[in-house]
Amino acid sequence: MALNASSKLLRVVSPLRTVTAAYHPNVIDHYENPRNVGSLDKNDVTVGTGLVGAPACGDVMKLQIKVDENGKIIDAKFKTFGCGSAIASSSLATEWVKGKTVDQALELKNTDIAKELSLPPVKLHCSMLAEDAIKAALSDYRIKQKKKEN
Amino acid sequence: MSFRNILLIRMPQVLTNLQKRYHHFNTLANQPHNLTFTVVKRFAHKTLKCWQCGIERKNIGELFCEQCSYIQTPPDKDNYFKVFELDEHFDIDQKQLTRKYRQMQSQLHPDKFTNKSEKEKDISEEFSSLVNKAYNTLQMPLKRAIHLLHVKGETIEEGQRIDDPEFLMGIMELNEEVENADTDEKLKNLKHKNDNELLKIAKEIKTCFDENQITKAKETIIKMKYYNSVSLHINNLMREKGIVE
Repeated sequence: MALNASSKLLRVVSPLRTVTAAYHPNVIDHYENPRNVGSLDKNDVTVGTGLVGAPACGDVMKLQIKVDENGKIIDAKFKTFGCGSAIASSSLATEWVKGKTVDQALELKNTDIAKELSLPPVKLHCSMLAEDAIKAALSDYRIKQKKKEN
Repeated sequence: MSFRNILLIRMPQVLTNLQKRYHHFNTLANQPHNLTFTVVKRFAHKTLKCWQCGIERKNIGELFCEQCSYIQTPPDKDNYFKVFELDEHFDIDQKQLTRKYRQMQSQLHPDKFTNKSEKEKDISEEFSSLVNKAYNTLQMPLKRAIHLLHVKGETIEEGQRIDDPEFLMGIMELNEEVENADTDEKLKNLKHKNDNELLKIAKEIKTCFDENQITKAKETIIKMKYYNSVSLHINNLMREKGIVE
């Protein structure tokens, strides 16, 4: 009797669970198999480091790029401590900037990231954080290059 | 500020009369500053009438109408301190809060209204869930701080960025340290260290609010938010690894 009742309950609960899983498969993919996790040497002049944080959620994101002599991004790494969307956004961002030139990378918009990951409105700021991280990394790289020239 | 409020501040005898009339003010009688504050705040409110019998409510802090004893709607839904008739300070008496919470829920809970009208059931549901929400918020230091900030007219926006690379680097390194902690002992130590940091920040926040430095309070709350995230990170790992303290 009790068993019957509980199995009935389970039947009611399981379809609900699929409804509450609001993350898009692309987010889950990047969250479970994040690309390019790790660190590059921040003291290397060919490496740009971007470190950003979102006060509203307490997430912190580090994104690094390594640029060759032709201005092409040959490697990108990230480390994010935060929600699934923030991790997925930064993972996707590193994938996208690899192989691009510094100028091309600057054109990357948070809306592209949000679209690819189908982020809901409440998670849009995660993609903005990733965009900011790329911009910060590129700017850090440029500052280092200028210093080298001088 | 209306003429009546000014009158209340200027005329101590009015206050004394009020104390006699409204017994709950007497509990605050030995705190003159708070008393003035509370009275002015209460009366800055527009007068409320009972939805059932229409009588003007003398004490909107009471949950039931003094005349007809019907349940009343919450007078202030946006200020959780007022829900529990607490002063708007970061430092609150947790025991008093819990006592008040239990006392209110024992009167407001929908279970008490099963035989009442639909309207009373609705009010009880709304009020009771507000009390739960308010209690959960005030109980947690971070949530309480954010709410108090909100009451003071400030919010932490989603699009805001933190412009302190050193601080962010510190948080990043702390998270990495947590991630790389390979023994239970290391993780426990990190938790202990982080909990102490949170206590220290809570004290700073209290000082900011006490001195009415709202911008500084906001900055410090943001700091707390980050250390709180580290704390969640540690707790998750400890749960995964089955570490108990």
